Amino acid sequence: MNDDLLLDVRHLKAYFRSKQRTVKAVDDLSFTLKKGEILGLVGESGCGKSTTTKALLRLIGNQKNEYLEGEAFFEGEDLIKKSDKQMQTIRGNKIGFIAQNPMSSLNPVFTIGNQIAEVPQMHQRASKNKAWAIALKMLQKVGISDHESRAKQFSHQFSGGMKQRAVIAMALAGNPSLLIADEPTTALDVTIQAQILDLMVKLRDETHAGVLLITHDLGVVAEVCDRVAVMYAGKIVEQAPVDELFHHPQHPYTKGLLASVPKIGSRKKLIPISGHPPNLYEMQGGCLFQERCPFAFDRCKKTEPPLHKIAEHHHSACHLSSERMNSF
Amino acid sequence: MLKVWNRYRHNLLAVSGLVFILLLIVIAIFARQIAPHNPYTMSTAARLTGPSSSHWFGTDQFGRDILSRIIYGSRISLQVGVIAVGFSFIVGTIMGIIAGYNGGWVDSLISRITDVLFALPDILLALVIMAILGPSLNNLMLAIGIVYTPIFSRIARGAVLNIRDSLYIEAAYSMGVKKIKILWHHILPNILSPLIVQVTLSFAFAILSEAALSFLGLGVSPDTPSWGIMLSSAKDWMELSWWTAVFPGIAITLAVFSFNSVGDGLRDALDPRTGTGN
Amino acid sequence: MNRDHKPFIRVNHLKKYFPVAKNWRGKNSQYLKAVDDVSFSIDEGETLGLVGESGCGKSTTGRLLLHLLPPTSGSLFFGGQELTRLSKHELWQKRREMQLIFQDPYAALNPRMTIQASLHEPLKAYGEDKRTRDATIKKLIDAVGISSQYLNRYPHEFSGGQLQRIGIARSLALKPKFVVADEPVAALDMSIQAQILNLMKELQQEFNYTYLFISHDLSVIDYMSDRIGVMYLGKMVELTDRDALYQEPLHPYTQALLSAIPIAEPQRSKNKIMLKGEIPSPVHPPSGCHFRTRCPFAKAICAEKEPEWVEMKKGHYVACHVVQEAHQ
Repeated sequence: MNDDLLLDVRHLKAYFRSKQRTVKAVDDLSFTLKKGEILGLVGESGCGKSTTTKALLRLIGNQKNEYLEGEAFFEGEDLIKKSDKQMQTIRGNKIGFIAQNPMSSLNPVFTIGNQIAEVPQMHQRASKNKAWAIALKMLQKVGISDHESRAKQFSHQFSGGMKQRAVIAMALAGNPSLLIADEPTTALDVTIQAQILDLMVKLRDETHAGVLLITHDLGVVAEVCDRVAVMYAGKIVEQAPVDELFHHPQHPYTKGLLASVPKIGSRKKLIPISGHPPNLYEMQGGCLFQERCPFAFDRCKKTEPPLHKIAEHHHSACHLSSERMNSF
Repeated sequence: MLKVWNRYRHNLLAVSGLVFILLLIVIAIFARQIAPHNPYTMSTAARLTGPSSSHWFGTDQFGRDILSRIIYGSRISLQVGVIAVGFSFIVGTIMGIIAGYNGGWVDSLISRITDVLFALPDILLALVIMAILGPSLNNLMLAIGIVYTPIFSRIARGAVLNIRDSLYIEAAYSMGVKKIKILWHHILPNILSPLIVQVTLSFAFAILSEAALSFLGLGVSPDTPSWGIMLSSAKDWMELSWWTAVFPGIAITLAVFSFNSVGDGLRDALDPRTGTGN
Repeated sequence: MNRDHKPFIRVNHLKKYFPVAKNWRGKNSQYLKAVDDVSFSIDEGETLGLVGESGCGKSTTGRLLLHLLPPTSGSLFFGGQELTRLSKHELWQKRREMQLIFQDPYAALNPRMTIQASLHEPLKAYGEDKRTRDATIKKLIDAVGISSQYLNRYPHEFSGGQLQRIGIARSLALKPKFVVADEPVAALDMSIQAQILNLMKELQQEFNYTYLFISHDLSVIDYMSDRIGVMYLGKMVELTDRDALYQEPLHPYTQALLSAIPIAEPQRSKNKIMLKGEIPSPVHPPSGCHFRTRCPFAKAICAEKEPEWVEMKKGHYVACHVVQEAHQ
């Protein structure tokens, strides 16, 4: 393995069990992330992209009804095998997390500065003064003007975009090598989204951290990601570098998504994907996308297509693309 | 309706509660036929005798048969519970809906009235009302009803405020649905849950209030068999003769518990999102 | 497009101020100017798109046009009739002809009513008999692609896309002429969005609806609209044909908005106009031109005077000092 490898997830499974049924939220997921790389995890609601982040952060798997399996090597160590206590020293420190709703990450009764300073105080045993200095530096880094007085304010005094900047500052305070961002701009307005995305790319360039970006927005992916993994019903159906994915999509689901998103200036009629996403507890055998797939044939009903390498760095889980490869 | 019943019948506790209440109603109607003794007949010879084959639940300090008095007492307790709570539920809910939906000065007026009623202790308020109206069973029920009206009004108002700005209310309005229909079809069904819970709670309080007021001589005459009166007069004899208190107590507890479980079951059954719908 | 049409909807100097604070005498002392002096018209069978970020007043404008909110001032013509002058009963009769499609179809349906009952409700309100109602609903749910065997179900038993189809059927049950769609696809998954957008277009072609289409997403607006109005902090800043808006946007805000939108096209040139700062509070908007605090071209006059709403070219309206000066 090369030294650049930061995160290596292999056969990750996360199931939720209840009396009646098992929901396979994440099912046999494998992907890698390099240092300084932004990997986009795209998919629609319920495809398991958020569950993946929760599994990596080990926020699930501790309850009786939650089942977690597989390996996730982060800097050579398997996160899935870590104890809760070990995870606490990793979470928020070596792995920073940015949530969709900044409100839920900020405590309304502490000042923004204090909340950021808490991170180095906890993880690096920094003194109060030193931690405060780090907090100020982080706020400056994420582009909050007048950061010294802003640090003494509370979250309700911040606007939406500023709050998300503060959350990013908090995630950066532990000097992480991996940033996990779960829909970091979905709650923001477009012009603010552009600022935050710009900031994230800049920070990646500066810190050389790896970024796992969870999003449903193909536009966001195209703008900031280096590589993309498309998820559907708990599985990765296609994985490729960003240009390759947008220009030569292989999986019918990826193609469908690209054709169903309106693009400014293009007058082409949208071609929607028919039907709706499957229930994760009523899955039959075969390909999970077959019911909505315009190209489905017999084999799709019987066997599930594995994630198949179809070109250098390009994988697709579709019988059609693997067949095309074999016919060469 | 059928769907509601289908959801309801899966709830064992709620069904048993319903069965017990129906049983209670039958007992109340046929008290004369069921009761083994006349509940008013006193006997100095049989004062405070314990449970026996002739008096299953024993006798009280005047030698009256406790079982018969409980059977007859179900009439008054049920009547007071149902009518008084029914009054406060209907009046309070209407007041609360009007206040919550209209807002403005109507809301202020109704809210101030309920605040004033809230500020007075329950029993004191009932006493004042009874003092004005004079003692009788009807006035007793009215007094208890008035005392519990503000709590319904306040709960209803809060619930209405919660859903008044809901999208489905706006949707109905934007589609030309008239105000009264919106109140009836959209607002009422969606505020019913907390009110039903309150009904079942108030039922217990109503039975006990009847006891307290009767004990003070403002309700029914003290020799009338009522669970409340039996329980409160038993407190002087309890140490000697436990049965005087235990059996009326069990009757009240069972009735209250049944009403509670029926209320809970009803609340869940009325919500299509719960239970076996799928 | 035929501009000689008589406008079907026409609003002049529409204003809506919401009181937000009272002084010590209980008089309203502070107002949120949600919609501040907006004028435009919509032709019959046309789709006007309204786009803008949070707090720009686009949703309020939609509700004002339906007279779900009474305007603070201004006039509002619907098919030649002045809505603000109508009696309660006349307005109720007019209400049939104008309907709203909601962003969140689940919240817009009473959770305790079956879909059947919800669909019947508006028709019942206008006194249609059972036979006509049944026939109308049968036709509608066929048109939106919902099977009639599902009618006895409750809202929570449907997926978001299905619910929006039902919501659309319900809004169209009264055979309206004018339909306001308030972010109808914002709550839906990508693959479902295209289904709903195409459905709305098809229905418009069949029944000649006049649409006001409200969205924060410029690509969706661009796909749906004939003409587009851009709003910022209660003001309309630009209004023109969709082609003109995309090809030669005049207002600096429109330009920034266009450039901020992430496009699902990785190799597009990434020369973004990055706006400074955040959207100011609509309770305390900046003096003069509301956009001047974030505008890269702001001059002294922008703080002093509100820019006028001027037709720069035929059908192309802009409110901007800089643009207007440049054209003189």
